[in-house]
Amino acid sequence: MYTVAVDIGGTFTDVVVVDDRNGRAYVGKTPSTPEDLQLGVMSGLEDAAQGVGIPLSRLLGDTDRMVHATTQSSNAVFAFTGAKTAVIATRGFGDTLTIMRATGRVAGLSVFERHHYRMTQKPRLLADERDIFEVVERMDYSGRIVTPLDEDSVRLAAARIREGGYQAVAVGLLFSHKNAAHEQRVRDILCESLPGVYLSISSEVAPVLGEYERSATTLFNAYVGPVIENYIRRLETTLVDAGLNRKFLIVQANGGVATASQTVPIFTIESGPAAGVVGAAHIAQALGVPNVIATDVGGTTFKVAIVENGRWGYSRETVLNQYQLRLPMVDLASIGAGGGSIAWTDGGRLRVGPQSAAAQPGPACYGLGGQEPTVTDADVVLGYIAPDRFLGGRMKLHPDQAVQAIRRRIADPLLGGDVLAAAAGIRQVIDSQMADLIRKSTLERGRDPRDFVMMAYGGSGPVHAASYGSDIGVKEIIVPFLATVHSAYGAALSDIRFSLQYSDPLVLPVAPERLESIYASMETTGHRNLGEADVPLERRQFQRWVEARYRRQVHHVRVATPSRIDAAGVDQIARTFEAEYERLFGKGAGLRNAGIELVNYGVDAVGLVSKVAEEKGVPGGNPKPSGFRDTYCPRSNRMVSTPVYDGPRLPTGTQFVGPAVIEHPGTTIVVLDGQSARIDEYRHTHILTRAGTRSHE
Amino acid sequence: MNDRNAFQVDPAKFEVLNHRLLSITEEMGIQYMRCSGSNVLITGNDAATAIMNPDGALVAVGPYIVTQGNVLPLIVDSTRRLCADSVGIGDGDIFICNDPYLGAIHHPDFATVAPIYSGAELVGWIGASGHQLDTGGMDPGGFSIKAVDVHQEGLRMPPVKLVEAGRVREDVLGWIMNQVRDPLVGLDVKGQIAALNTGRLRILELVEHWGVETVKAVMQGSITYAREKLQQRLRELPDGTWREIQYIDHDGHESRIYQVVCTLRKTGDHLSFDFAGTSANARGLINSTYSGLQAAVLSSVYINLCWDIPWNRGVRDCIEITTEAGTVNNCSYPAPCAMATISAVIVTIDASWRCLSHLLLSSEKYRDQAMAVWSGTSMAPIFAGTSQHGFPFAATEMSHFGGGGGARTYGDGVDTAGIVFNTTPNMPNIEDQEAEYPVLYLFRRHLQDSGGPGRYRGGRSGELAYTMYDAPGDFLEGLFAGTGAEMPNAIGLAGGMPGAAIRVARVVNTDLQRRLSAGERLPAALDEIQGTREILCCKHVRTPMGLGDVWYHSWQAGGGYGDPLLRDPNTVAEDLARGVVSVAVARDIYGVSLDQGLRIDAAATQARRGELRRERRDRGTRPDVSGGELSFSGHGRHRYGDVLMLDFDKDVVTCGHCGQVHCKPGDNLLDHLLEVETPLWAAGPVRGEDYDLRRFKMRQLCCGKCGGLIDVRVALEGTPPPVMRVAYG
Repeated sequence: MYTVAVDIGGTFTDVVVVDDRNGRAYVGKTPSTPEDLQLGVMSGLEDAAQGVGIPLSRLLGDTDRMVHATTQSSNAVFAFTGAKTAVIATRGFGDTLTIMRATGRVAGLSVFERHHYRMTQKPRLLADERDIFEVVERMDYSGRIVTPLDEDSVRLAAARIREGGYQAVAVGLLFSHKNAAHEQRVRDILCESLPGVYLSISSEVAPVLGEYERSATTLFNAYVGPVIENYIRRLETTLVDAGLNRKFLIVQANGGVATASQTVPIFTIESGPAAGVVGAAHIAQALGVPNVIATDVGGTTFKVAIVENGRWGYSRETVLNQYQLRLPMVDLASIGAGGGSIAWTDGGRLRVGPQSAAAQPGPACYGLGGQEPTVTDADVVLGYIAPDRFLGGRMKLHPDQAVQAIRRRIADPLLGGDVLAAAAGIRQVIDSQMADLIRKSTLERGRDPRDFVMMAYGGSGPVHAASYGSDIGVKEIIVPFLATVHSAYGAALSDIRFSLQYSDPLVLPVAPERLESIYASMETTGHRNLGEADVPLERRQFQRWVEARYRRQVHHVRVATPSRIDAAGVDQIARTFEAEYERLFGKGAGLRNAGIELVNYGVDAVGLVSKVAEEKGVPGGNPKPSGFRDTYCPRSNRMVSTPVYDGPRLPTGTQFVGPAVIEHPGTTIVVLDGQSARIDEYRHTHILTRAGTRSHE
Repeated sequence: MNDRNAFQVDPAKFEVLNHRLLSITEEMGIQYMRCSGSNVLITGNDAATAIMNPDGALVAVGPYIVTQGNVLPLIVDSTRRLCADSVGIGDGDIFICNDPYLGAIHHPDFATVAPIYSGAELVGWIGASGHQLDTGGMDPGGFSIKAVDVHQEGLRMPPVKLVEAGRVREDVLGWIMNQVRDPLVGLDVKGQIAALNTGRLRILELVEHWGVETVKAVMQGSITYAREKLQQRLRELPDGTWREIQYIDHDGHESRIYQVVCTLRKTGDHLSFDFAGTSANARGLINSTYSGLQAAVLSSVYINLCWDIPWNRGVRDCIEITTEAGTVNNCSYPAPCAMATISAVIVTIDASWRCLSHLLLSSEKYRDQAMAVWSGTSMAPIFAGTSQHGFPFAATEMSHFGGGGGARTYGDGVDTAGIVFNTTPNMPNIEDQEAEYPVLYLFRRHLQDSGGPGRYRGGRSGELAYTMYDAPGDFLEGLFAGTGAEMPNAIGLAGGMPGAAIRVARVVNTDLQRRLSAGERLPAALDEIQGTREILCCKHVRTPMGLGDVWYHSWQAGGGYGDPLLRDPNTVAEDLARGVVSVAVARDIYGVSLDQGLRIDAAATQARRGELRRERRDRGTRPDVSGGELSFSGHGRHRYGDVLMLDFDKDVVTCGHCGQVHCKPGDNLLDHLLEVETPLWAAGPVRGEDYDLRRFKMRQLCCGKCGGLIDVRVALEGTPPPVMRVAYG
């Protein structure tokens, strides 16, 4: 009867309850409890149950689907509270995880950080030479055994691992993605000799070419494995005790969910933002919008994802603590820019970020002692954020402190004391950084941002979208009705999804049977996984893809492959690849006569969830503003009296022109002069930019 | 600097446009690499993109190879000089050039530049540059070991019009393709065209939106900002003179030593680099032209002084370079220079780097920014043949991109950190190498004892070995172009010792074939390989590899910081447990005594360290001071690194270790110190012992009372002692 989704964020734990009978959504929000995340989960659920108007036990008892996105793995990784982990590697190559392909010194750092050589270094190692054990064995590039596994060397390593008191072991042998026999044997031996120790095997976790990334993924999986397993088990027990009687589903980085027992621990990393992209894709589909730029502005980070035809991309590489991982993860680009970004001066320049104020003491306007002016302070000075409505009125802001910080740090040194110009400048600078990231992300995918509709969520997204959206030239910006709990909303809609991968470089032409058998074997695994998750046959769907490249060139392009591969199917793969390559990299960019090489194969095994249509709002005449306040108008460069609307009460079909602000609990939607706004049938807000208005004329 | 119109544009607008310009250089790079798809370019990031003023002054560079971006202004300069009155320069034109005597660093770096016009007004220039897999010439891959002039190194283009008014000149493209062996070069050139088209479009969008005056003002403002910020920083640093000497071993023809002498004079807000005393042109490919020299100096200054300052013309404005044509880092036509980047250029970086480190060390505010020299050289180990998939190839083994980082004044250098001129280093996966090329690696790991010993250790380098595997017809050839085998180039700071040199070897007559066919365990260290070991020359001409032969090489590590006897014994014990250092080095260089269980024996360690210090005092002699000088002037109290205390009020220089009064600040300190001369390998193994021709010594300056190290150099016989004159304002 209910779908319940819980998303733990850095600051808040969000809950969305959807009544599957009518699509009505209820929201719960409570501060996160990093010392024991479960506490926040339970109080968030209580909050939501109150909204529904039933006791928690009844809510849980009537829950058909319980979905959870957790930061537990991120917390373990970034606070270094994971398991004591040992590594088993091929003899001669044990340094793979300490060499880190040299890139480990700068992976994930911005250009500016990379310019400061002295400050760059490799991250704190999850396993160093003392934790890494080499075993005698060797496979070659084609999976042939060069040196058979010396089992005594494995037993010796096991003995030392036992003596060392390790809680987890990551096994990463060369070319195990081509031939897993040695890793499987190592696993069996370790299983016997190290009962109770968590095992993470590279050919199972990330069966892809490239020993560093494969081993790093396996290492991180081992590192968070015991923590995640323990966390999920505890929470599941608590929920069952509180009345839940369905399987508990965990959101994965690929934007899908899996049952608790099927969850690969490291795949839960960054699952909240992934769920946000799922939510964006779903809303876009319901509105008949095929292509969307999803943007999420939080306190410290700005994130961008591209959704095309309802599908999101997967990143080829994930950087965690400067380690480079390969996991099926929604492709999200990010920079350090958000409400907490700090403004500063630098030799006559006005700089904003990448440093940001932590929640404590936070922006100056929090009145908790913060002295540095932040983007949120600028938004307060500019009238976009109302001091008494912040976080739904949970926190009273101090505009005088914002003014003072901006005056002292920016206006006096740079602008002859003009606080308004300083605040407007801070906002302009941060918005242009976000716009530049969107341009870069779309360009990298061979797209033009002007061909997209933009979606904005997160606490600060709706406040800034009107600015950075018009900067990149989109015509329309959509702010979801549940923008402040958008990831939880997306989690509620996530399908069950297993992203299976396999590497086997093959140069076309290839016998169709060979390709078909690669996919068929992954689909067999997919069927087994979906079966374990109780997905009935008619709700199973398999999405095949291949990553291919022109030989001698390094760009890999991922394209969908036919669900049944015969001779025509192989031709089709080649044609699709060539077309996509040309679209991405330009006409004639491919070295065609070098031949096409298929490298990585994948199947997303999906268990489709029936999604109830969202509850529609009530249509009505154009409402009156609930009041007026002065906000900054960039066009006229001054404060102007601006109508304020009460968002949740706006009937569908409402239309008005900017400037306007729409207050929702937890965020404010800013509509600028020259733009117009419309509330659609699902109560999402659409902002038409000037580019959009022009094209509509 | 605080006036509100510093850049003639309001601060927010300046920031927005400046960020946009930087983003455009990045977008150009993305566009370039997307089209090219070349491994060197993308995995090695061996490329550059830039935006320049109408006069060619560098405004913004993309985040790629540091050195390459600096040459684009020189290419613009050559283009304006040579083409304006001949073929003409017009809207929509693109020019290509790779002539080292007209702006490129070496032939493989093809560069393209394009003017951007708004109507009739020249807004600026944009450029792209990238390392090509082949340029014709004697040897595939761009490094012709036996070349004696630039003509043997392949295609050399002066600025040539590649695109005319927006139309690609297929005749020029076809002519380029005729000169090179690899069709990827064509894609690379097209990638540069795509990059410039993108850049042009983006800048014209800015012009349309903001107006040409504003865009030009921001471009100029970005240069002004960089210049003023660097000037400000320089004014905070003491004035002085520092001289450093660095070496290149072997010129491809004979085992001659070439020296690069760098004298830095810092006065007020100005830096002057004088290369008087540098060796004459070499016969072989190790030379660099002025382009490489300038790029080297700029790279050193960028990294050591401009971590938070844009890398553009404003920095160049603060620098004067004095050099004589016809020298190894400013060679005269027709000297060959294919190896410039990995010999004369990087060694010039090393020499200027250490001068700048000393400058930083002399400042209380900036001493923590000082770093010992990073991996002092780079290399090109090339293997060529036909792959197991039937493709002909010439590939560079890029693992040496994991050079060791220099130690810092407060912490160890980074292990396998990278090569300094690459902001984003990248070593290949073994699996990618073996899947692509007919080789089987036996091992790749950190090289033990490679990090320069010091209170803070230099970062480790690595070593690797491979054998031919699955090669059609059992045929594969190897070539090696490296520098720094006879001596290390990663010199330490403040008593820190040099990191490892490079070593190249092959083992022939091995039992590998038998082991492979019997499935027996394979050797996983050089010493485990049974057979005849041959140490190879660091410039090794192309030769076939035999079946079962093993080729081995290791590369340079980072220099150390501070006297190794000051390293925390617990940290040494940890290094030992991790295999970072050997027992012998822990005992002999770090003076740490351990019991059987590798636990520190504190008393024995103290005794051992005292003994080593005594040994230095006993062996030390007064250094030869002819031409050398260490002296100080000024007032106040200062610290030079941790090794010297200067008190102008009391008029003394004292030892930072023991407080011993050395002399008056104005005296030549060299007259009051001891110098211990040792073989290079007193800093650990792989410091040139396999290449020794008795030409190099390690010279350790120490306190005459406590034996604490003050400075450790690698010196060619007969080269003068150091020069350092510091004037505290």
